[in-house]
Amino acid sequence: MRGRTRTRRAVLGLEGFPWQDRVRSSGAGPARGISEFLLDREQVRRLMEMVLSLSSSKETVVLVRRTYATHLRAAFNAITTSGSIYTTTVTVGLVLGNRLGVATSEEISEAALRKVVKEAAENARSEWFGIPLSEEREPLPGPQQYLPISAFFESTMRATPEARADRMRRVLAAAQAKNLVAAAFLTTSAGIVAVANSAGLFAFHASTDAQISMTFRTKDGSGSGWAATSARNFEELDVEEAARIAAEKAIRSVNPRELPPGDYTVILEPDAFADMGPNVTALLAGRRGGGGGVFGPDLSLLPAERVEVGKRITNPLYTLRSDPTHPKLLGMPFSLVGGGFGGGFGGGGLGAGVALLQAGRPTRKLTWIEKGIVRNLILSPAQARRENREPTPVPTSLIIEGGEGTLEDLIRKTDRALLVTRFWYIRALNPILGTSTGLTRDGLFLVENGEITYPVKNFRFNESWRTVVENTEAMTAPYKRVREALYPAVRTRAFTFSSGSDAIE
Amino acid sequence: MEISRRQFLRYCGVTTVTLTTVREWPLSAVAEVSARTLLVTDWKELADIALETARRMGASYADIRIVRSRRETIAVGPGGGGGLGAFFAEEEAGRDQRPTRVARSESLGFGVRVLYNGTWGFSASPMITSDEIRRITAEAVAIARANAAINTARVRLAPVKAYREIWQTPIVKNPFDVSVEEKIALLVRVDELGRKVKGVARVATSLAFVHEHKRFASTEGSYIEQHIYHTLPQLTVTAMRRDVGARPEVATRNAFIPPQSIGYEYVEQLKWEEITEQIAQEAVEMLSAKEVQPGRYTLLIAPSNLYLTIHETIGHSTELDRVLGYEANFAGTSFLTLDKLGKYRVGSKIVNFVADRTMPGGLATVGYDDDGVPAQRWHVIREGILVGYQTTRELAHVVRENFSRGCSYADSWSSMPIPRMPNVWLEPGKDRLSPEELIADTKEGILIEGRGSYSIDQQRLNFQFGGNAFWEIKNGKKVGLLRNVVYQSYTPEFWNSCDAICGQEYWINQGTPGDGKGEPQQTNSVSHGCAMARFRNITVFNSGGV
Repeated sequence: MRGRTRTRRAVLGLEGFPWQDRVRSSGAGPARGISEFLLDREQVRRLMEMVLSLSSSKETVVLVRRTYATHLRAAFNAITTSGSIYTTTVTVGLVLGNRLGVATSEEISEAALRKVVKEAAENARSEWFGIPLSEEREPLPGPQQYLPISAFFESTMRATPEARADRMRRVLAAAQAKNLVAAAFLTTSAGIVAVANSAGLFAFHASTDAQISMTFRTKDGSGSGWAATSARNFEELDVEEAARIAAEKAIRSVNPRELPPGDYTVILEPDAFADMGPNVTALLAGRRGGGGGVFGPDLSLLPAERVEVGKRITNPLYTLRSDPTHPKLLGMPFSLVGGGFGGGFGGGGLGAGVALLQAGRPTRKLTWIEKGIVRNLILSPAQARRENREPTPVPTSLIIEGGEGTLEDLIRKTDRALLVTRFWYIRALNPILGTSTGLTRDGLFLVENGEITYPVKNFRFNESWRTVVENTEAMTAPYKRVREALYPAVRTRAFTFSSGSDAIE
Repeated sequence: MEISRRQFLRYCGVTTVTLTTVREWPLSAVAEVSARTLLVTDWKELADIALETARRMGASYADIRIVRSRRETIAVGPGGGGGLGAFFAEEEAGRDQRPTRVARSESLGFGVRVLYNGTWGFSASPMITSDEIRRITAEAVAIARANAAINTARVRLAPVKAYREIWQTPIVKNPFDVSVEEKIALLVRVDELGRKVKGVARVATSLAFVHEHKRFASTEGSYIEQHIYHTLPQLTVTAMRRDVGARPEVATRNAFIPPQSIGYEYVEQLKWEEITEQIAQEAVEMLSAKEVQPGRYTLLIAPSNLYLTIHETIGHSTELDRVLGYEANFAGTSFLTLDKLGKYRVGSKIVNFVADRTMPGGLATVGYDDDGVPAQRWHVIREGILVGYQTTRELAHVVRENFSRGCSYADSWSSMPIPRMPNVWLEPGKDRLSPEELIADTKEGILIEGRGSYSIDQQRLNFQFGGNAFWEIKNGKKVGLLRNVVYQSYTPEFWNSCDAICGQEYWINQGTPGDGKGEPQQTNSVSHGCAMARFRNITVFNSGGV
């Protein structure tokens, strides 16, 4: 086996390349194994150069991802399930004639790479699998400059099963100390993602993440509190602070009072606000038809008027900017799809593969909305070329700001409002109105004269995110990463709760 | 819980981009370096490496699943994937205007699960070689050992026999053996049929096929190989009316063709012409639908809507892991607590629910679950009373049963098996009541077909469900279409208001491939057969704000 492997490397000029068999035979601890599994920048560059050299197309794009992910779950103050997953994806897109063929592999090996290039070429030639392209398509982006972002922390990659179990132990101990029942979920991940194309573009990004969420309940099931936190650096994952919040909410939520359904001023904590979420991308598309190209512009779900730079489009309290370098975000320095044009790979599966050709364009620090006024719009590469401007990607690593102070400050400045910890089962209700429905969960409290006075029974809401934004009257400084954006807590008027819910836990 | 597209994308973006990419992209290559093609003897030898390694390292139990999943999707009609990303991507690189699109994907890998000192550990990899199986098994044991050191609870597994079986979904025609050309020809014909109807703007139709080849071996002595097939046809027709100076009116009608665990013969037997013409006509009629006035109504709910109500209210609330708090941090708990077993009235006397992994066509139908337990059928609600729960080997002892009901499932080689919903179906009414007779027997009410927006609280009590098409019923007749109907109720109140269920002849095996649960989140496919049923005095909202 070894001899054969060496021969293959020699053929490709990749002597010493750490193929997976070497990871297996390294005999080192798991951390060294993971490090070798993930591959470093130069290893990935060589691997991608090899893939590009195998393609006969002048328009070839390669995307490589490798991830090591772990999960640890607890319920009723005990550990329930736990595991780790190694995943690899090599995606090759290449153009033959005016047709794009795409193929993927789950392994990195010479045989696998040769096969994936061959299959991409076969797909490009296939009547059914080849994706037809316009002759006037945008050329592949060449070499790019990227923001320096250090999102990879050795401590996260090297977090042992014992270290992860210890973090969970601390959470369970915090619950037990208050006579509460904990359910919690801890994840870590370490991964690399890279893009290269035949126009000379090469982009590489390594990142780690650690996240924990927890629900503490009282033993009689009459109170429930939730908290979550995350950090790129495992050592900075503050499980104690999250446990303190979850415990406090659980204890405070016992014996909730029933309030009538109706319109209330609410304080939405960052997770609730994020889930209700302003559809920023839709706002900033700068055009009609954001609903998805099925019907074209006439049946847009967005306001009929065109969004333009300099125009006020939303509540002047809101400023939205992208900053992938923000220490609390440490986002992606480049986009993987269509110059950052949203959606994500697959984008619905069928037919979305054309965007791959524009992968690897840099993300940028950019202000989108300043005090309610549009400062920048999404500008596609083709549009940008026509207008002789720099393209602007879809907003990523967003920061929603406009307020100051902490959640406690906001509560202190509030006469009367319902404080919402998080929502549950949010579903679109009427896409034309932008309304959705969902329920409050794990901590709903009445705030009166600057203080939390008593817990309130959960509600179902029927409300629109547009109304939430328009009716916002105050917000905190942005303080919490929810997924890949930094959110504040916001206070908003006339939020409609349509019915009560008896559910607690 | 049904996962929304937004959740799905978010989930993919955060945790499983890799996997989803593999699944969604056309034709993944399977590398030759590892054992990508496994002969019957090969896989058992490889499985034994995991089991022996785990035993040697002190595990009291271990299993390995080697899973190959294939998916093929063929679509005719407006495409581009939808969403802003696709919108721009199309503009950038030349809009994908193909009338037909084909996607194939495949994923192959293995997962090893071990029990060490009563605590689970799991690890998974796509590299199927003996060295990798040893390494992954060792990692699963290391994880279990680290957690066992601090764990206070110990898993107790109900006994199970050793099985050496090969099981396959009963199919007549393997969908993966039917040519792409033949499938496209069918869809093009359906597309043309739908667009012939005056007022129809768009027809979107697709066929999706899933094949899961699962090899399971455990230290109990089982070696089980299964081939599970799903066939998922879809058809949606959109009608449009443009009045000068007004915003165009649009109405979309979905045929809700039940997805089934079945072969290509299902596609061939469907009455495509009839279905297409009917929903195309109804889509056009829906343009003139009246706004519903909020109030309390008698509802007649067709299987195409009731199935998801069953899923959310009964399917999830009878999951024993939810009852016990395993899902308290995510999917939620259940109002059907253990003290209610055998006495709590969930519904009226005519309401009977059967949990069932054996029913033909059911999306959760298998030969064996992912604990190696044979598929079974049992009542969870009998004559309106809670009489059973969904269990796995780990959960059975909680309800003092010495055997598992076989509800363990992992949605991929990279997922750890967890308790998942079997098919949960509503028994038909005892008499042979037809939907027409039920309508004739209803003085005033609303008939609801198709699914719409769905939302339910974490204990499965307060729910609010929409639909696709709604008919006003007056004096025993359908008098016209309504729009924006949303019904809201509490689970026991709703099922106790059920006063009629149509007969066996009108029972339809509807289902969903999008049931979400677990952390990390997993997707399950499940069927909820039922016949049209009537519910009295239910609150109805207008989702358009009237």
